[in-house]
Amino acid sequence: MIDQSYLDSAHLLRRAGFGAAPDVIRAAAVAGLDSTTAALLNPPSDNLASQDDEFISRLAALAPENAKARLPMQAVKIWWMHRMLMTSNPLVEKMTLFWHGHFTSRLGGDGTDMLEQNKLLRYHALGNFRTLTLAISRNSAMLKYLNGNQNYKAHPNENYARELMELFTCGIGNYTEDDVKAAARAFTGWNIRADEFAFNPRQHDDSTKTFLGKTGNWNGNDIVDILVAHPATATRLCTQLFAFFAYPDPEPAVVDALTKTYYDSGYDIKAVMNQILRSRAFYSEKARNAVIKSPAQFVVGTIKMLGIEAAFDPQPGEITNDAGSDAGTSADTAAQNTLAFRPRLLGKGGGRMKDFKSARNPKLARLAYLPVAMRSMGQDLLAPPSVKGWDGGEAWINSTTLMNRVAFGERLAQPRQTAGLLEPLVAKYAADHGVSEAEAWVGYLAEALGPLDLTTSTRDTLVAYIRDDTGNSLTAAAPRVLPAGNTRRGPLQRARQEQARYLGLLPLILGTPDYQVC
Amino acid sequence: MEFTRREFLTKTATTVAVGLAVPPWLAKMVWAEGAAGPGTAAGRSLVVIQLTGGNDGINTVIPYADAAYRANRPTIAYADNQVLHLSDHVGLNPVMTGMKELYDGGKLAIVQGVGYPNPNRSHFRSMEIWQTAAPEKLETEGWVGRYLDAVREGRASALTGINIGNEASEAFQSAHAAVPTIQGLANFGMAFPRTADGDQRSAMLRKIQTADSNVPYSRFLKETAQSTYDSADRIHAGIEKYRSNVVYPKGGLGKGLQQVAMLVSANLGTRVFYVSTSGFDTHSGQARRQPALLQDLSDSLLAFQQDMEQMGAEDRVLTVVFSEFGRRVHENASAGTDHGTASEMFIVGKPVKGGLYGEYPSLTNLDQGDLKFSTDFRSVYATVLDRWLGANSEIVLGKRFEDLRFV
Repeated sequence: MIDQSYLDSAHLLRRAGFGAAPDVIRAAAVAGLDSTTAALLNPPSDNLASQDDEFISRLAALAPENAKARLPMQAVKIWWMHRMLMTSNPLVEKMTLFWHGHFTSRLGGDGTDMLEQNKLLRYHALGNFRTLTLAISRNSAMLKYLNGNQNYKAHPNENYARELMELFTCGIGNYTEDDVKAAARAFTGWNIRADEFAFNPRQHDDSTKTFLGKTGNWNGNDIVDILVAHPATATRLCTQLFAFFAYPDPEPAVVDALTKTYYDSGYDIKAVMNQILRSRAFYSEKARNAVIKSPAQFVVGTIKMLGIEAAFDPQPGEITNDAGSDAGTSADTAAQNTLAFRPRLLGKGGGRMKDFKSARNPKLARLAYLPVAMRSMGQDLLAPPSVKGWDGGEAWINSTTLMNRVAFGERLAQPRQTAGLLEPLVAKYAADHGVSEAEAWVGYLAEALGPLDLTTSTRDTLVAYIRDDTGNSLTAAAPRVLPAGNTRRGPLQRARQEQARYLGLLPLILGTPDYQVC
Repeated sequence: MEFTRREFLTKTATTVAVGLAVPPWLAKMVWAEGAAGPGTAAGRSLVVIQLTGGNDGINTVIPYADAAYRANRPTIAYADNQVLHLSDHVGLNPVMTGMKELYDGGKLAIVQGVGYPNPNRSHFRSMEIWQTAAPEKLETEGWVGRYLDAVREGRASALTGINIGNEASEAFQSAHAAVPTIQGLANFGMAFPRTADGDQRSAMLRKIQTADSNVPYSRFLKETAQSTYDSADRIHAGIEKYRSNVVYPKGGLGKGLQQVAMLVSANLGTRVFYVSTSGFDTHSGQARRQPALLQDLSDSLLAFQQDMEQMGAEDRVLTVVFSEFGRRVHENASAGTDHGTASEMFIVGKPVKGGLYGEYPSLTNLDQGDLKFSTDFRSVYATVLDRWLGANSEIVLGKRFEDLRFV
């Protein structure tokens, strides 16, 4: 039943994670917001930790020989997509995504450093902002990206010092060019040796510096300390967190309350997040549907809300060159499922997917497609467009990305496994609501993917779409689950056409204005 | 006579502009989209071709007369008599007959020794430097994006810039407007395949996306969809007229340039087209790999130029070719070359004053084994912006650069 507690729980699970299927939302509603929020903030052990290493190394093993010295970036992307889909700690992954867009790095095709950085961001995701900022200042991916590895006493490189202030902490307008120079000197000697952070005392400038009005023999730790304590950092970070999770441009009073917690807790990210997720503002009318879905939210969320994760969840042992089995489908449809995704996987349009063209396992092939889909929507995971990360909001939507959101729905509708997983749910919806098969498909999808408050005219268009093909579908018999197997003629073939027609609703619903927000 | 909404807007605006004080945004709209002749900047287009991977400039425009050339490249150097001589010092790679033809016709300017201070040898970073025109710092906007922002201030036309391919280019990053990345013209604005069922669903989708809805951003989402469909309609209607018997090379670059030709013929007010082609990272087996790429480039450019002439657009289209860096002077142990610094830029078109520009860098006076650049790439951008696009390069690039006068 859709009541207020269901809507509130759905809202929480979308924002503090990537969304969930109706039965998961119902369970959360029964548990209550308080306990659901507590569970999100204090996750139990990481359900995927034990398989991380094997998952990654098996993906890397699929790469061509010459790419194996370092991890292919594509392997790390696929691994992270899998985490977002399958984690038992959705808020941690969502926060990791937030930090990835905040403490940005981008290093071309080499995934080794980016994997390490990603693990660092996850480890500190709900930790302490000072600790995180210090850790990222010593992270090899960051040192390479912003030239920390070239920051020497005789020739300070200002790149990291500048971005640390401009984008990672206090923001532009709160420091001078002299502060940039002083901070750069303080970080001299924070270099890399053997791909790891190494402090090089001979390259460190240990003379006196004046930074933001404070004079002393500052090193990088001191700069971080001064910056995390800066009022502009508190305001900026709390505003960004609130905007990411609740709604853009929060009122000053909302931000003030958060900055107080930021200081009272000693820069504790979890304390700030706890306050955001339990705030009245978070559940206010203003917060509902106030965020334009990021491609990550769109891709991961759609799969999770439909409850079809199983189709994208290879076990580490399945990450091989063998075709493998595909739970719930016969061998021939498994092959077809793979084919439905393979053109992209193999084709030039897939871009940089060549490392995985030998992936014959259908679940892996589908999973490997997801970062490609995300990139087509404007979010190339682990490769933010610039040091300021993704702009988000309206910048997610343009003529290309909007159509690619629909195209993702079209792709999702292809494998029969999607139908196999959805049909029983639609059948139950039809029985529960006493509606026809066509209405149940529209009704169930609109409910699971939101619930979406579609206008009557849009709903009518969707129902008309089905009716056009099936004539009297609106009064058709109760839905039935199709048996597996292929046939080219007869009633089963006709039923398959109808099934394809029903699944054609997916891209249409994914194209509605209503589905672009969450 | 039927007008599309945009045509109506443009034509109306043109009428209004006569004798009435028009708001600046409207004036700009007329300036950019009005029926401007080839003599003014407004009707002109720029095509940027990006050679991804770092093209070896030394085996592209070959300093055949320099003894150091063959000394440094015992296995991959070309003999004097193979090179397509341009001067008594340099000549084109033997496969580049198409570009030689363009050069002989005065339609190809070659800027030699192009680079920037403190060269970065990372593909990613150096490409970013070229795309943002900012060697010293991380810039969030691309040079084309900054130019387009100035052009379309206050206007919503999505088609002032078009990126051909499957990957957005940082060159187009801008504060104000996204540029469509188009993989196939026939499918632009369509999420579904062109089947009976697909067309029907496309129609349904259009209805759904351009209808009112109950959510925040609904107006923005509706307008974006509407503008997408308007653009798609304009593109689809515009390219219907395209007829050509020019045969383009079959590769991605040829296909991309043919799509540009179709869009040029459609006359959509597009100022900048961007096409990328890759594979230039020739660390090994260069003698086998690079000629295929250069021939593809050369033949594609010639085909495109012929197509422009056939459709009578040769006076309003200029093409610029660049790569993120050149390659090391000395060949490596794998009969290839490693990441280097300076290389050439090519400017193609009838409006070009053909010839050699800039100084070919010395092969012996090197910086850590690499060429010292003689011309800053931003002076090429500046020349194109000021002299071809009628823009103010100082605003787009942040400061003044030398005017190379090749156009």
